[in-house]
Amino acid sequence: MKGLIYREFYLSRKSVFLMLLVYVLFVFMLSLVMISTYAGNLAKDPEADEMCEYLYSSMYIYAGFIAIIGVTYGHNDIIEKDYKSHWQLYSYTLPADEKKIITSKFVYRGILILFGFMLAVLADAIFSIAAGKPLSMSHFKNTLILLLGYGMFCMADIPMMLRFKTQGKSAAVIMPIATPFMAAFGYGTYRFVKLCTAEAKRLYPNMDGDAAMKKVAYSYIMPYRDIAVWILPVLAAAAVVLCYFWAIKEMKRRRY
Amino acid sequence: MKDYENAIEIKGLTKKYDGFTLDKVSFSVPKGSIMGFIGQNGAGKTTTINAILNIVKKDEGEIRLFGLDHEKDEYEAKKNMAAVFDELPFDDRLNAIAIDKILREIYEEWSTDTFFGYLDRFALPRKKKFGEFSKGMKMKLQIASALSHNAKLLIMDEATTGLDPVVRNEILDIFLEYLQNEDHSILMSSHITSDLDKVADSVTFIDKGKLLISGYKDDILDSHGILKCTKDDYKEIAPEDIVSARINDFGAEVMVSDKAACSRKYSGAVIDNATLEDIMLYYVNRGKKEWR
Repeated sequence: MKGLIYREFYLSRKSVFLMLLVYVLFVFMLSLVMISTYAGNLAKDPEADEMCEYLYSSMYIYAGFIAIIGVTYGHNDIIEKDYKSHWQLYSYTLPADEKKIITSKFVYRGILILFGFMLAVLADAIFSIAAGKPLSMSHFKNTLILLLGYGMFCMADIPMMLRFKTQGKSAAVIMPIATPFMAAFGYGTYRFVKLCTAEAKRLYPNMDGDAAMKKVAYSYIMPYRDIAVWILPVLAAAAVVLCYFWAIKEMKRRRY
Repeated sequence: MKDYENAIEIKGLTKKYDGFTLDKVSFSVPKGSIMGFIGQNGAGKTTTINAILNIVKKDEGEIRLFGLDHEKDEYEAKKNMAAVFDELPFDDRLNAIAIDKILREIYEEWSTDTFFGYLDRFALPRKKKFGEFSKGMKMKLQIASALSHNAKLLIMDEATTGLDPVVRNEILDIFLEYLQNEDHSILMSSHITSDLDKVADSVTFIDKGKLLISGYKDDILDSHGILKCTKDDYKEIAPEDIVSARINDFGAEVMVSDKAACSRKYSGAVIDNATLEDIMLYYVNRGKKEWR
């Protein structure tokens, strides 16, 4: 199985490295901007503190996206390329059963996701140092949710690609299923913002509009976020197990 | 692995598809020999090879590799065999160094020295990506990787098709060298019968999913012949002696399956030796009996 994991690594290392470069640039530049709000040119800006606060409270999530999604991105099209390069057929001639082949894919993708998560946490730590603020548990929880949520999607991609062979076909299948949920999510977000805006006006009439709305929104979101931190690992573990067996089944089906 | 007589043993292999049936095919590849597997496009060669590799699920029959059941002991058997296809199954972004690192972890008996030895012999670059390789280079690379884990059986599906004669010759020499070890065997499907004329010990010929001939090449070539005669003489030949006949303006060329008997029976007739290509052509047209 080690050889199969090596193979996944060789095929994805270039894009992982490129995304790592993007991550380093992003974290480095943002850190410089944050430092500049108290020790550089931006310190003269009357809103420097607010800017630093805003950057620290939001940029870690972008760094998390770049890290977690970025490092796994290059691995997503490998199964499609396996079909194109006839590796899929050749792999059945190797002394390795479907379980080993699928395990190698899951292990490597798991390593990438965890690596991305570590980078996301590291980015938050760097931002906290740059902003001169203590490490935030809330940021960690949000990053963990990003990891688990995207991780499930990322693992489900393996059996999906084995079944539909191309990313285009996979997307064509997922889109009709996902569209009603996306529409519902969009509408729900709109209703939620309306509700929070009205509540913010009622509860905090003297506060700035955005800050008041954020306060109201957080009071609704936080309890659910904390529940999600406990529930998502269980769901993610179950999803990974399901996807693993689904992928083995697809691999066996594709053999004949 | 226990001792075995035949590297491959197929009995009554049947696979049914819509519009095509591989019908009770049986043959054996003796240990230490090279078998040519011939037949026209769609004859069932790839289906047979894929069934041997357990990529196609057989409907009926029995396949044994090194005396082992090809399904029950699949991975034990696959440790000792290698498959070579007409297309390189390695991603264009990889190079030979990466393939060495990958395959040495997959095959217990992988030898990096052997692999790089073949690469040097074939003058293949180690760091160049496969996407920049020519077809000949890709085939040589595939053969180098197939021969580097001490495989006892090499299965090749149209692997030399599309290669120029110089490369094909070079590859055939490697096969002959590989067969110096009497534990090694090759099953080689090919359209290029001249290659098999050069290297094969035995030949299996299938057509439309049915086995027509299987046996030692020399026996097959010795027993078959092309009887050349006039159109009038052709009418005198007993139908049971004729595989099929090519009729032209000057006379007839008749494929006979028992050259010795026919030369006695039709004394005075000229019977030329047949090549594998002749045998394939005349057998494919056996349904028509007469063709041009």
